[in-house]
Amino acid sequence: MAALDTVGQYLEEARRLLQDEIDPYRYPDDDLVDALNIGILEARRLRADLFLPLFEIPYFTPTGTIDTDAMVTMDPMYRPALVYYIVGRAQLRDDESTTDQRAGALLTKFTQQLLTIAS
Amino acid sequence: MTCAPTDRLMQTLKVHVPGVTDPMLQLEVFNVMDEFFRRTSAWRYRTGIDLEVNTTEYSFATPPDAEVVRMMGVVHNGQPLVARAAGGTASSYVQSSLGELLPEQTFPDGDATYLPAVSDLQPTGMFTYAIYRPNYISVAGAPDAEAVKYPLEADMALTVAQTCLECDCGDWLLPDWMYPMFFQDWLDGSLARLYGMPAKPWANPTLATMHHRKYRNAMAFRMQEARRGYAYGVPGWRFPRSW
Repeated sequence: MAALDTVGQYLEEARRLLQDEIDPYRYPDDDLVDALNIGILEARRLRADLFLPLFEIPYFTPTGTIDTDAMVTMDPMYRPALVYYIVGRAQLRDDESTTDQRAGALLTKFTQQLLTIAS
Repeated sequence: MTCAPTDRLMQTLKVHVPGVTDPMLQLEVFNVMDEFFRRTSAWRYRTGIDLEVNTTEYSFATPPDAEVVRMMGVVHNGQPLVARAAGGTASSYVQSSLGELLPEQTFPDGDATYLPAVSDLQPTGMFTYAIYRPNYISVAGAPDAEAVKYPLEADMALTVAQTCLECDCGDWLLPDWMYPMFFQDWLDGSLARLYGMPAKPWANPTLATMHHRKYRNAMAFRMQEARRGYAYGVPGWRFPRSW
């Protein structure tokens, strides 16, 4: 078992970086699961080999009760990149200029981690 | 955790190609092995095929996880058979056959004569063979009761089968001696393919070119080596220049 195996672990790590760990949350679970789903789509576009052999794209239902135990099948080396994407995408909706920069940096980091060694 | 013969290759690749995933490695190593075997005929396999009277097509088995690339030769009762081109007749595309040597037509001085009408390429005599589809051999002229006393000995070149990729064992059922023998060649081939990929963390066109060149040279060498039977200093057979 490695870190970031399940949807719940992704949400937990994303909330830690967002400093949003106390209920009621500023960023709802639904939004973060949506960001996870979109991040997986981006990863499929950039790195098809991560979805070998069948190229199936997992989808996690963001509405209703979130299945936090659902497994996210992603190579361990590239799981942190997905967390950065979730956090960056969540912060895109904030309109403070400082948050915009942070969101942009996190989304860029996601892309760089998928495409380059030094990132 | 169990050891697999591919461990050395996979471990070396993981160190040389940072960020590569296991399924990606498996796919490219498989592609390299397949190309390697198809070009070099380095995986040879010999099997016997029992003949039946009045039957012209026979299936033959290959080892698990392997498929036929080409037939290298077929022998029947110690006699090499002539391959027939697809769609041709028994003697199509074959030149310089002299026919059957008849004792009654051999002169005392040793000068022989031949009866072209009784050619060894005629369907009624020694038959020819063809491969029209994998794992099936066709012979021209149905064998008679005398011919079925001896099996066909087929020598073929194999490659890894595509079903291997569906196996999650991390191993292909190749003969064990191949892994150390071809390690460097497969390593160069895999590195060339991986470094040559666009938009990957490990992409490196310079290294891809270098390893690809080494891989191509290795395949040329292995092709010659397989033909000569892995013996040092054996010259390839060549038609005599004076003929």
